[in-house]
Amino acid sequence: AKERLSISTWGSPKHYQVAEFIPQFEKLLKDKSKGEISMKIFAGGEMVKQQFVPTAIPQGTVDISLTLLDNWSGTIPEVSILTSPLWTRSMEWSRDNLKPGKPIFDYFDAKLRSQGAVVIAMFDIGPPVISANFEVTGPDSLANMPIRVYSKGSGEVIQALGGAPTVMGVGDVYSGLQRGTVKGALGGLGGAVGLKHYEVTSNMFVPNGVMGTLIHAYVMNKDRFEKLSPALRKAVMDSALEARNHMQQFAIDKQTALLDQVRKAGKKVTVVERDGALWKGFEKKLEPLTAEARSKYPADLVKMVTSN
Amino acid sequence: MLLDFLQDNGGIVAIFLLFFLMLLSVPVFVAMGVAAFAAALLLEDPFQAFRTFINVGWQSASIFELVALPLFIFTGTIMQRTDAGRDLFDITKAWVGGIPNSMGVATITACGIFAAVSGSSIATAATVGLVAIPLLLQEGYGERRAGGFVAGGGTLGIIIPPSIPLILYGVVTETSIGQLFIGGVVPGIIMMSLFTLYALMSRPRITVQHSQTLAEKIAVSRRSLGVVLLPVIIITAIYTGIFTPTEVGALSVLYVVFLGYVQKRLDVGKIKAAAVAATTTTSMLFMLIVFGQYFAHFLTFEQVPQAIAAAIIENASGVYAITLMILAYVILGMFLESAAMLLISIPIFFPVAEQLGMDPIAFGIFAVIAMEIAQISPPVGVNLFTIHGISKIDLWKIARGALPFLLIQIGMLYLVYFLPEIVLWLPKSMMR
Amino acid sequence: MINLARQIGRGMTFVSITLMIVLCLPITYEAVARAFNAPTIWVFETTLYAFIFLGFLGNALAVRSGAHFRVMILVGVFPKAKKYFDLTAQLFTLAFAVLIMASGSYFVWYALSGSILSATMLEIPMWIPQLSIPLGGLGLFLQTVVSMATGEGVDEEIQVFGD
Ligand code: NA
Ligand code: NA
Repeated sequence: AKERLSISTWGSPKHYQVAEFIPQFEKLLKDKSKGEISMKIFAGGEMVKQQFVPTAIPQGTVDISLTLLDNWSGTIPEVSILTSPLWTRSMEWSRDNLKPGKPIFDYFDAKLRSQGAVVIAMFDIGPPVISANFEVTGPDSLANMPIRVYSKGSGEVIQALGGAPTVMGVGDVYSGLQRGTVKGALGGLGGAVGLKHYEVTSNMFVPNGVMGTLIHAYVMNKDRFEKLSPALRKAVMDSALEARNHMQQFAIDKQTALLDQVRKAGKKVTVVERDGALWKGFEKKLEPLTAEARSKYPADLVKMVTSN
Repeated sequence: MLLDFLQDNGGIVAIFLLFFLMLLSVPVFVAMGVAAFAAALLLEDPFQAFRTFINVGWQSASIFELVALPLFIFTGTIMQRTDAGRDLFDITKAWVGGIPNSMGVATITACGIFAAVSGSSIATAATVGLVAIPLLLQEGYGERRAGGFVAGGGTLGIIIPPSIPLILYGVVTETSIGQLFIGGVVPGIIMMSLFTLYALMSRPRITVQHSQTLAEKIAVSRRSLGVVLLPVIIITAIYTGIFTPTEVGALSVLYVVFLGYVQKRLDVGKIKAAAVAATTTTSMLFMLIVFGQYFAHFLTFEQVPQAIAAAIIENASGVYAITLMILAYVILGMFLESAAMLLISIPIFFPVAEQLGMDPIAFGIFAVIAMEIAQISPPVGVNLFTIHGISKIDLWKIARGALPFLLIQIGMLYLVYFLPEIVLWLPKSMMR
Repeated sequence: MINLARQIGRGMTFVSITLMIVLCLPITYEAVARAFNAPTIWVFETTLYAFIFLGFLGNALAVRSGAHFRVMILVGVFPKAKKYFDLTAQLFTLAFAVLIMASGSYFVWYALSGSILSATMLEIPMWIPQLSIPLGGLGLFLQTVVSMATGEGVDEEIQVFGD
């Protein structure tokens, strides 16, 4: 029987998490399933908006969707560890370790399965950056600054730095920054550059992972997945992995180019060097949150995230 | 056989059912929900259809930008109960009283000013109409023109910001509502100027003079200052962007309540009555939005809009495609209520507009002008109903009186297509 | 029975009107608080949920005042058949209200049984705002029954709501 899977993404369709994944995935899956599986593709949140994925996928509104794992904090509190300062892994580490069969992937896959979703690909789109109209010179620079955050975990980090986490719709961030509704916005580098937040801000602060990162995934409705034949299930997983490897590498290579684009626009870019003075300063300031995370999350998970 | 055909054309089935149910006079939000749900039952497992219904419904309801809606509606209903219409009309009459057809010009101007406070055409037409129509009739403009001026002028309510339909459009297409609001300013002023020009030239000419001395003009202006200041405050607040559109809505509610109390024109009873009217309208719109988006979601999932967009683009281009779209809007607008029309048409026409290279903000203004046409075209036009409701002038007479306004609006549609800069210039200048 | 239905409708109307009147307050508070660099984490979410309650619970009032838009073209052509058109519209509305109640209850049950919280810093149990759906469906159902029994809101000419 022919299968047709619906796949939904949100955010800019030009973002590498979409543009470097979906076409590859579609083609690979067609080949690997020998034409058994075709796809129906929806972009820009027209089917499922970002924050609704955690109910829409288990409930089968679409078969597969892009998701920010931190958006699952309403049912799986453990996901917020990925956005916490405990997470200091590099994108290269993620490239090699957020794969089926590796502990962190399997841990969250099991968690999502208990909610009715299967993780078919997991990746690091890069640590979030702060597009701001002020310069971040140290961990105290964010004090009292209204900063737009995108999820629960990111809000907690900003709060720990003394900033005022502000919730606003994705569409309002550009104008919010421009008009000073918020002084800065935390978000993925790809999105910040794609949505041209640098046009309306003077500075970009690149924490480089000292404030956690953005782990995204493609997830599939569990019933739909399990109704596929074992061969087709394998085709889905293999295609997703291959497309994801391509996209993850693309994302890694793209980071420098994106920062250059911001510099070229005449904006000041402050990069936190790993284990440099700025890094240590932030690490110290975030220590209470890190300690809290250490005790709040299950010990086995903490170990997976922090051990070498 | 039949089942196969229906299953292959789920989107068409839904559209057919929608129009069938609407003809049976089933409330539009029910018709949209039932049509899409019934078509979904044909295509998928019933429990899945049931779960998708509620998931999409919830996703369509929980959109923060929609919170601006009740606030701008409430601002309008409070103003109606504080004689704001009389203030506006008095001040415009004082300043243009010396010219021919002065009362007609004053009516359009008052509509334009009220439009900058209210997000709705109905509220604009009703507020100004209650005051203006009796005076227009008294001065001999005749029922056709008296009704037509207010019905037509009232449509300025949704192009000049704030605008309820622009909020809906921004929500459905994920376009910045603040930028849409600013995009409506210049086209709104152009439209108002054209309306004024028509009012000035319409025949027979009425030459009743309303000349007042400067002292009288200033006295009237001072009395009406509170109301006239509000549009200035609202537009400035939106333009400078100190506040989000939702916050501007909240602040304008507080402003009109404060003003009403200072002027001793407001009491608890009136606030309650204003809240009842605003709640009624909000709930009506809310159900249309939620189930209109559910209907649109179903069509999109069945890839109907994509197919229609492709068909239009393949068979027509540029000005022909636009003309086709305008024609479709004029016909839909004759029979559909404007908000329902927007929610049904946007998922279909938005991809077409994108293909034609229209900017999402420019197309938002385009769609809102199309809605204005729907509001004054018979047999179903909310502004016609409103004016008929408050004045008892025959519906078709009002429609004839509003026809010149409708023609101007069709011209405006082409203008926005060929010269999108009139929409985009102001939001872009705001960007720097 | 009709009286009870009407009473429930009045209760819902009271809640929705109250929400309409107070909605501007927290939003203004947020605007001012942000100007002092002290934005809240609760206004955004709670006002959204208040708005959703307002929209769903407002149905009782909207039905009672005949505000839900209907296309009356065929009714105009066949005025003698008006009561059949009205009946058709009401029956479809009742059926749809049942769908809203059933699916809304399922959604509330799903959020309750999965202990789903909002994925924000506020962590509101999602069944609370979602309760507005089945309640709104109930209001729509009961008020339509009242309309069928008493004619309330049916013969209203298109009303002028100052929206
Ligand atoms: Na307006
Ligand atoms: Na019409």
